[in-house]
Amino acid sequence: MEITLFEALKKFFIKGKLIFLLILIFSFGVYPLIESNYFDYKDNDYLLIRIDTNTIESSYPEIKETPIEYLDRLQTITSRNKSDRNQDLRKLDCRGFVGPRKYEVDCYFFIKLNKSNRAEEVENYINLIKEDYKNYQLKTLLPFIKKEKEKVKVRYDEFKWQEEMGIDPNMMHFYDSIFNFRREIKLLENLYSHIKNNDTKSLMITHKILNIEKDTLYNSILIFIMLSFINFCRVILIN
Amino acid sequence: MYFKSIKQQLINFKNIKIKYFFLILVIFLPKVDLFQLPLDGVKQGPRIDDIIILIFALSLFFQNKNPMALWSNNFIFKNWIIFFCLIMFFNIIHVINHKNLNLLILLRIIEYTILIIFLNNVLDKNNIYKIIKFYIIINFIFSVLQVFNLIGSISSIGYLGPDHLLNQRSYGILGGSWELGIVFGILGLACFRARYDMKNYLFYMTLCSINVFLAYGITNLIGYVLSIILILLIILFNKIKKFSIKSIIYSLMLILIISSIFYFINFHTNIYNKILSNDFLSRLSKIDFLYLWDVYTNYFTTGYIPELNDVKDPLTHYSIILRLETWQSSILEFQKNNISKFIGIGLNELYIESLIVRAITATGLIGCILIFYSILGVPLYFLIFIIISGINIDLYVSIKIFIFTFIFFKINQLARHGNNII
Repeated sequence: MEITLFEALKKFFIKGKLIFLLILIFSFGVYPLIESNYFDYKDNDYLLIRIDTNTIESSYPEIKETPIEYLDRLQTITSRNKSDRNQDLRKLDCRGFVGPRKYEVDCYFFIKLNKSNRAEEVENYINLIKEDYKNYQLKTLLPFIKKEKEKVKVRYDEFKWQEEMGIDPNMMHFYDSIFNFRREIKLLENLYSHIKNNDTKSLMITHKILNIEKDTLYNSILIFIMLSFINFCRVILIN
Repeated sequence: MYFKSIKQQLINFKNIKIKYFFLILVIFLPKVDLFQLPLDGVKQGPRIDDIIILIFALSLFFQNKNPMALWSNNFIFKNWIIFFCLIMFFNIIHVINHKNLNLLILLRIIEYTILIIFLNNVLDKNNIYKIIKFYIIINFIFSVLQVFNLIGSISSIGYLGPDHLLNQRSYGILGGSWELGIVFGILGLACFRARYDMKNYLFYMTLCSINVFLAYGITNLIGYVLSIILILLIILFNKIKKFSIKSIIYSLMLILIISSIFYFINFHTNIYNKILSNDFLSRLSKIDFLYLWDVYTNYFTTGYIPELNDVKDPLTHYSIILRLETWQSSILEFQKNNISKFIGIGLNELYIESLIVRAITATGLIGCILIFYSILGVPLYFLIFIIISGINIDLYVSIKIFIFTFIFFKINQLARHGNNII
């Protein structure tokens, strides 16, 4: 049996007016209602964390690898599979990538964000991550400073021992090495205070919304088109 | 006499119904973008084909005498319209869940549905073979001229002269060499399917095979060769069924003669040297399938995609591996929860360089079951070709490939029902 457009439209709008009415009600009545009342926006918002490996901080060999290591750390401390995950960042889930996005992670929110709390929560988490990164960098740097101080101490001890043993110390060599160690310590301490007092440049955090919240009318129109398509195909195929 | 014939032809031309004129335009017109869409990441724009389909859709409203059928019992692709409805239904769920829906793909589905109605109305046993024969010859001529750098090509980026870098491979009158390879793979198999109704089908199959080769596409060439091997096995099996001592003796003698020729004139070495002198064949011979298998398994277990420096023989393998990057976001999204595995992630990606990944991730398990059901009546050699070509190309993003798949299905229907339909 054949069906023409005229017959199909007649069936679509007149004979099947109840279905067409239901489509209209669902698209422009029920959907906006459930959207405003029941939507759970989890997973929609995320933080894109990208590291920059060409900053001043990266010129220090001691913390050159820190940004890359931090991305791994971020994934570990926020992993949903681990019970001992970081309590401050527990409402995030960070996922890393390979290939061209290997210097990035996406951190999804596991809290309900809406227009009233979005800005505040996002800022809070950005600050928490920056603070955590800062602490991580400082924690990485401290052993190096300690090690350099240790070297100075060893050199002094060596100097004292040489004096006690009556060996004439090579003062030139001694002052030179102490100067080098002190300079290194100074550099690292400067870096330490720089990291502590400034905003990091090697970690960029941007807030993104995965599914751009299209306005309700747009979604209603989409649903209406798709439901009408299904209904029209039903009319032409089952006749 | 000659003028009389031209006059007659002109009268015939005048009598051609507008719908057939549209059909010829849709099939034969190269890809010409009317304008580019002002959207980020979208390289194409509306084409003349789209305008024709729109005119066809509008023309359905203004037919007083003999209105065209929207649907009839003997129309094909019914399952695919049901499949489109299923995709729409899944996407309603995704929209309700606030997921992104790519409007361009939604429009394309609606466009394909109108195209199915249009092709069902205009393609029949009287014109389908004429169209494909003419199409094969035209494309063959263009491909050969392109091989000898005598003419350029027209694609979605406009006309490119014969010396353009992108014209190293033949395009025919299609929008790309990849499209040429796949369309002619489909047409070659369609000629075989129509072997009882189409005169000189072997001649046209040969032209198609040459075009598949001139397209220099690796996966579709492999798919085509495997399909042809299957076809040869089918023929051999049919011959064996008609068993006779005489034919066995003839076959043995033929094998003996061919082997002797190979042995005495050192044929295999000559062939090997010829193969190495052709760029495409030498590239093809360098493909390490075990390495690619390792890369693919590694990708699915760890998500690792080797970078250019890590790729073994990048000139040969990098273009194949590069496509994995377009799969990544869909696969990650697909693996995220169980609902995605059942109903897919929806139509959110415009470009995924794989038909198989697109089908699995966009429609999920339920969609795949419907696809499987819909292809039950399709010859295995055609499926082998589509599946292998679809490993790293999203075939049905191209309207031409969709049209020629429809033509194959139509020929399949005509062959199955002994040309009694329509």
